[in-house]
Amino acid sequence: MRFSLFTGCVIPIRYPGMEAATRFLATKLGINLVDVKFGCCPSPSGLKGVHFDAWLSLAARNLCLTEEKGLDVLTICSGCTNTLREANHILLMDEKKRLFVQEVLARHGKQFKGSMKIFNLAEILARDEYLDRLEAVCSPTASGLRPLTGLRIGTHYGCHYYRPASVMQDGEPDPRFPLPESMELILEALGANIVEYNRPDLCCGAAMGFNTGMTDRALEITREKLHWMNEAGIDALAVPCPACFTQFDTGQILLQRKNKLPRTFPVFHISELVAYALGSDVKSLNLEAHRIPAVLSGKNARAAEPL
Amino acid sequence: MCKALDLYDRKEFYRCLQCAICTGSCPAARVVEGYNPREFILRYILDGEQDEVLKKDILWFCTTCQACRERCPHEINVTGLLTHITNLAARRGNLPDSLREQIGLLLETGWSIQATSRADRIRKELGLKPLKRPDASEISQILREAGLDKILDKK
Repeated sequence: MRFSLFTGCVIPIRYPGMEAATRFLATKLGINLVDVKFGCCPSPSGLKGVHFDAWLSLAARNLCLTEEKGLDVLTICSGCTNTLREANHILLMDEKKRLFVQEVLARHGKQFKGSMKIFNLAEILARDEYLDRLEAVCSPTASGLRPLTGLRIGTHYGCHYYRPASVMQDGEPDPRFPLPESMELILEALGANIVEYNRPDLCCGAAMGFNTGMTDRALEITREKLHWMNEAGIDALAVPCPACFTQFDTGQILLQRKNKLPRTFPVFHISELVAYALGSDVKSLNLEAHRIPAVLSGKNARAAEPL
Repeated sequence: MCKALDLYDRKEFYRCLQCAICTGSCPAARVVEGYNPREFILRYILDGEQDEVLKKDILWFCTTCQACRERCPHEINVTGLLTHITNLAARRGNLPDSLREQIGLLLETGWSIQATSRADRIRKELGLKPLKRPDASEISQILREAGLDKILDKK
């Protein structure tokens, strides 16, 4: 498997440990990642709402850069996944938009053809060929590997990972069960226990804070989500998106200061958990970047004790 | 140059029964008083109060989660309309400072958050290559050529 790696802006700058984790697990699983000089995706919750055509044109530029190399794209952020996949879809389906964007890009020597596919890391790892490799982590004869046995974990995908279903999910989505299950498959393969909680499809609230600066309002959404997670008693949360990560990680600190939380739990990007299970040196994961202390240690992983 | 935004189909909205599943599903509506997708549809499409709607600061509280669109029993693309409305609002100068700053940074650096020397130091410690800064001049040209200039000039 060979992909261009689309890191986005947040991970390489704020959470380089997640990038290191992604590169580590890719090497372990034989996934070849190629670096391309991409720009911002740009954000499906920022520029898109301000100037749709500028959003589409810049996304198309990124798509052209990977197309020139003949590579599908691997993303590690739900927002990047959404922008690139939806832009690709619009450019293929809507002739008027395509002609407009092609005219802009032609001035920069770029041509959009639409031959590439866009994946989030979690979608790739949930393929059978990789799940088999991840399950091996739990084998009693495995050495240097660390199953997540006993870790009671919840998942949050981020709205942009799977909405709108007509663009973001393959096949016919069932409206009663709109959520993907890629992280569940990965985490169960690694031996973790998936804990279900109420309103799993509720937004984390991050975009509201970015766009309006009204962080307190946005945190009220996060607080509801955290309430349901705490009610279910999760030890940790897995996300495939750095924006959701910050909202839950920093968000818990901010809410705790206002005495609005009964307990806290660590949040992990899915790449961190998989890299850890596959034997990555814990120091290389740079877990110090987490605001809620995150400890992964020993053969049976546990999240840090709640504060 | 495409003039029309074409982000929603007006006829779809004639099916709207004002059932408010969009508003009931909306995370912003739960925490921001007065944020109400159902009412935006009513006033913008059905009552023809476009000018009033486009002036509202509150439009920008949408989290872009798309729950309204996914849950609409009549499969109306509510998110498309909301994106259309915020695009037009921005053209008229209704744009929050935080978004204006985000876009300024994007034009200047090609990224949405500020790269720091600290990031490069930690990357080095982790054995990662230094940050690969994007071609900001080409990116800002593309954004401007696509029409972003018009918005930035409006204040």
